[in-house]
Amino acid sequence: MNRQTGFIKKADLYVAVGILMLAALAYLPTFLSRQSNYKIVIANEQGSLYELNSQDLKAKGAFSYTAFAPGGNFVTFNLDPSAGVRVSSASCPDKVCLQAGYINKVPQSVVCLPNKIYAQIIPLTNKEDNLDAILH
Amino acid sequence: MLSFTKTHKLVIAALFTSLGIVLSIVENYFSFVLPIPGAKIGLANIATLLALYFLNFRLALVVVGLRVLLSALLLGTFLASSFFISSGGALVSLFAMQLLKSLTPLSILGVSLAGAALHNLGQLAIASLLISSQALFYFLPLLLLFSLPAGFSTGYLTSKILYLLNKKKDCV
Repeated sequence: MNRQTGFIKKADLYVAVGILMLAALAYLPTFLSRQSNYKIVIANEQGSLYELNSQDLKAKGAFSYTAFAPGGNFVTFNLDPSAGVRVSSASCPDKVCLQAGYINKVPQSVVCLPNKIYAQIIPLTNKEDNLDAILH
Repeated sequence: MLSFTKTHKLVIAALFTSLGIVLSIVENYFSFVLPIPGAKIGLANIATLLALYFLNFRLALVVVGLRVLLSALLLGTFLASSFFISSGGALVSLFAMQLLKSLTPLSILGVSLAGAALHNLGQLAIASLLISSQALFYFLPLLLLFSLPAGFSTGYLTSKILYLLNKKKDCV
């Protein structure tokens, strides 16, 4: 068969199935994530800027956090105990990060690529999880 | 049947580059549709595939390089993070498609599908290096899924254009 006719060959189907399987495999960590307690990390390329676990967020209530990038650029995050975290405003030109909405499951993330700032939901370490259980 | 001289090939490469630039710019206006950084239909990949199948790998490399550089200059993103992400994705995809084209029995659809998936993987890898985090790999499943319709549509369109180009070439 001519390579340039565009008819699907058996080998092409294997490629499509391979991509689907890879996608399913990559989705597995999100699918299996059932943690009710998590940590929100807001960071840039140099490291973490702000961290807060979900228990502390519940106690603190909803608020906004603005992370700044060089050149007067910024990304403002909304942190909400019932919804999670989302980008509410950003100085980037494309505003793709604003479309992502709230994230609240490990290992979701919302990234503002032009400003190199992101928020990520990560699992609590055992130590942090145990601390939540201590009664004062 | 017409056999191409070096000048013919250069003119055709320039035309494919122009096509790639126009498609890149058009696509840029629709990038807000998906809340996934870097997710695009990959229409500009049509120019890469055309160069790869109608010309040769060397000229396809020139088409990709010029397309990425000139569209970044026109869009004002030269040396911005999107320029490096776009370059990374385009180069990874081109080298992978060349390997698959010459080493496997895949048709242009299969090569395009794999190229679209590897384009997204390349972009994610460069973007992750830029922000020094693996946070972006959360988008991998969605980008891989999106690469199926993207790769299929660009592969299908390219095969149709190639058919017309070869028909025209045979008539001359």
